[in-house]
Amino acid sequence: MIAKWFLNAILLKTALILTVLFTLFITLIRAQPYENSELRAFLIPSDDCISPCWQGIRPGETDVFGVMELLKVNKWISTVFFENYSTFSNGYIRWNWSSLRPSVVSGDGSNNLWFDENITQNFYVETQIHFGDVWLLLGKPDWFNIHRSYNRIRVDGVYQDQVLIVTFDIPCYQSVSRFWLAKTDIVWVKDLPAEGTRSDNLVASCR
Amino acid sequence: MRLLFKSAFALVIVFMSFISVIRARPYSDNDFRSFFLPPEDCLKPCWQGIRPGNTTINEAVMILETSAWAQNIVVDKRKISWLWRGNHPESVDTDTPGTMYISNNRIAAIIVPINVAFGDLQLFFGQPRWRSAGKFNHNVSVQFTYPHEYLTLSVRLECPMNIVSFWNAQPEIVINSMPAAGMPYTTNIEFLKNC
Repeated sequence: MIAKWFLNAILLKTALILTVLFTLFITLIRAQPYENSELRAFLIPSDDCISPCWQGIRPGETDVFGVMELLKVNKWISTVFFENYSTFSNGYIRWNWSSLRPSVVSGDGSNNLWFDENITQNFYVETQIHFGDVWLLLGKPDWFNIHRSYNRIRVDGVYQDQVLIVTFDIPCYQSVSRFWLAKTDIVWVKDLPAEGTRSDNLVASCR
Repeated sequence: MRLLFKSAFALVIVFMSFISVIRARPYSDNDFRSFFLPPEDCLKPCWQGIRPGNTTINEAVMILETSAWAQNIVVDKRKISWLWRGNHPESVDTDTPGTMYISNNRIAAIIVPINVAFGDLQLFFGQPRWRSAGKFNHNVSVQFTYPHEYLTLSVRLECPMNIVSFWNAQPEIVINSMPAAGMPYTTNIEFLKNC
């Protein structure tokens, strides 16, 4: 009887100590400030620019002259290239990132803005942003368009309010963490693509 | 009942024969493949030995002059253009001059006019990674982009338009010096609704 009571007391004490210990760990982890000001500045437009908007450029509205002016004065950008190589009045504007660029883009990361009839239609930026960080900042995408090919999966997460698409491509049969750590490309668009699935079970799409 | 079975059987045979005949036709894209795709010893982007971003104006003109398919080569500040002659595949639209755009004394992009339908090109190149679409007045403009091939297929169509006329439209092929992107491609061609 005494032995049983003694054993229970030890068990209870151990459980209590472990509970306190793990609570402390979790509190410490959660107490760390989540620093996303750079990501926020990159993805979320300023108050005076209605979405879709990036650095003052609005798909469907900003003309090529406006784009060139905005990009040339942007401290993140060093050189701007205008490419109108088509028999139609459309083409690309590309840019090189400067040393003052945010860390969410790499110096040699590709990008381009597509214009047609001199108006911005959409623009694309290759980033170092993890899909998980986009999710933490903007929440769950409103819907996904999933494309499976061979043993890879391409995920387009569509944000209706921001009028942007977060897209990434990863091999199937990886751990769930690969989804959260996938580096994304961001596309700001004039018109959203057709609605896909609202299910966030992305791993299942690989099966 | 017996008559019904007989008719159904006869129809099945007839339709099977039709499908077999259609499927048995040889689909040869060798001409197109050898004319548009780069040879093994020429890194992409490359067309007929001309590499956008690398080849100089003089080198490009020399390649055109020694080719069996270019004539009346004209060089101006912005572009090189030429007319077609002799040895070119049937898929080239000979009524439209070929064009190379110039930037910094080098070829920046090549436009090859073709008379191949969008649908056939998608069968040939596969699904694009990116696409862009826009509506202007009574026109719809569509681009399919293949970054690995440095290619953009570009077409402008008049509204009203249906899906058949879209796939039958003949786009221009633009070979760029750098890969390009647009909106992620989806098989849902909702942009036709813009019309």
